[in-house]
Amino acid sequence: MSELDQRALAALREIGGDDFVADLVDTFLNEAPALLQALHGADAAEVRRAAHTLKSNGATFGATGFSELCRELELQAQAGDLTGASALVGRIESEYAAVAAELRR
Amino acid sequence: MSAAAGRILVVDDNRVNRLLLGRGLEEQGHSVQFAEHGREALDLLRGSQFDLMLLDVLMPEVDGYQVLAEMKDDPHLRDLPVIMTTALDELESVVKCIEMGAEDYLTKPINPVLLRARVQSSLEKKRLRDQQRELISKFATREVAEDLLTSGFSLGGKFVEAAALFCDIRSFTAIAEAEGPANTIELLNDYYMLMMDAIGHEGGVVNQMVGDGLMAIFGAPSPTPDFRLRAVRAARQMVELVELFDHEQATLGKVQITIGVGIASGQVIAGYTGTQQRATYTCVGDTVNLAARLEAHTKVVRQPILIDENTRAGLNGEIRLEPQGELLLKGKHQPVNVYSVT
Repeated sequence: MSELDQRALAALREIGGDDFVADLVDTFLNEAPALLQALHGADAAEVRRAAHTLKSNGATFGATGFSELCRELELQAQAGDLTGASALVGRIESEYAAVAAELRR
Repeated sequence: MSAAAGRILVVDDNRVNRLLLGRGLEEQGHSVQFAEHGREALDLLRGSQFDLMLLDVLMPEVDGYQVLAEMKDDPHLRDLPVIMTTALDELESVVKCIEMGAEDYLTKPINPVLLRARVQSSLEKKRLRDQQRELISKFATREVAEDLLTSGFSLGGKFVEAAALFCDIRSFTAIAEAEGPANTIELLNDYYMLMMDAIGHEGGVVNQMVGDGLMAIFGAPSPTPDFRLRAVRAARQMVELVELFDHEQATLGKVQITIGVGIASGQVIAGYTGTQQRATYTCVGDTVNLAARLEAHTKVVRQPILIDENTRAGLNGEIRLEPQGELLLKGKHQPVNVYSVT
């Protein structure tokens, strides 16, 4: 099953064409590792911001499931409560791996 | 849809979003600059001209709310339209941003059709506002225009210390009858040009022109400590300019004029009167009435410039004056000391 909503990718191609979408994917894949790393931090504000950015980028590429998990973490961090967040971060990371693999194709 | 190009600042800490918005806007013919957070955005806004800003809410350093708050306090940035770019689940933050002055919002991921529609609509509003600003500056002085922009067209009044100046042309009705319409209008235009130059040169604001009469204010809306001296200097300049004008008129065989000027100083009620569509900066109160009376009195004592005691007190002996007796005002028990400027 695809991790990505093809309609989102089609909308991106409409804006800038195939080459532009390829650049955009590269940018996302280059920046994501540092953001994923930041999810492990103890500062709730920084976790929130990283989760927020990943959520936004996930939605841009149609990675709906990934984006939803990031949103959950964002809300938790916004509430200032990171207890039990590491399990959620783990799910985000494995979901990211599947998304990244599909985007690289 | 006619796509008029705009200069747009995109503010987002997320590089993917910046690329996406930038590309979308450039495809629509706009020129785009980027800022990664609010501080950078404010620096860019103060350094160059933009027609529109697309602003993210959640950013490090200075966030979207802080950007809006700072823009609101800056008369040069206040009118720049802002479209918030935000995630679908953050709509409550949009409400707050719109209350803080943002014009519209777009949800991320950005839909190109909505992007085009919202951007065009905001740019169009910006153009209308710029036209309005230009009109204001055409019909008001720079000080009034700035004050209007700063106060955001609030029509509220306040007490200010100012000098009111009235001026008119002696026997103008007779001149108009003798000269005919075309010459009369030409004469008035020459006269107004000279008077406004003299008044503007001393920092005064002309706020009424009716027929051959005009009223000017010194010390408001921008406070100046020496407003009384400035008003008197302007009056002298006005009289001198009319003398020069008459000299020129004489060599051309055209009609000559003389003017009378009255100045009074003190507390006035100043503010914008009218409606949101058409407002004028005006001053009212006893001081203003006294200035009008002094102007009328110049005909009686055959002096070009008359001032009141309060104005005299602000001249520090720098201007030569002659006492012209007292003037009794309607509704007042105490007569006012009157001086002529020589």
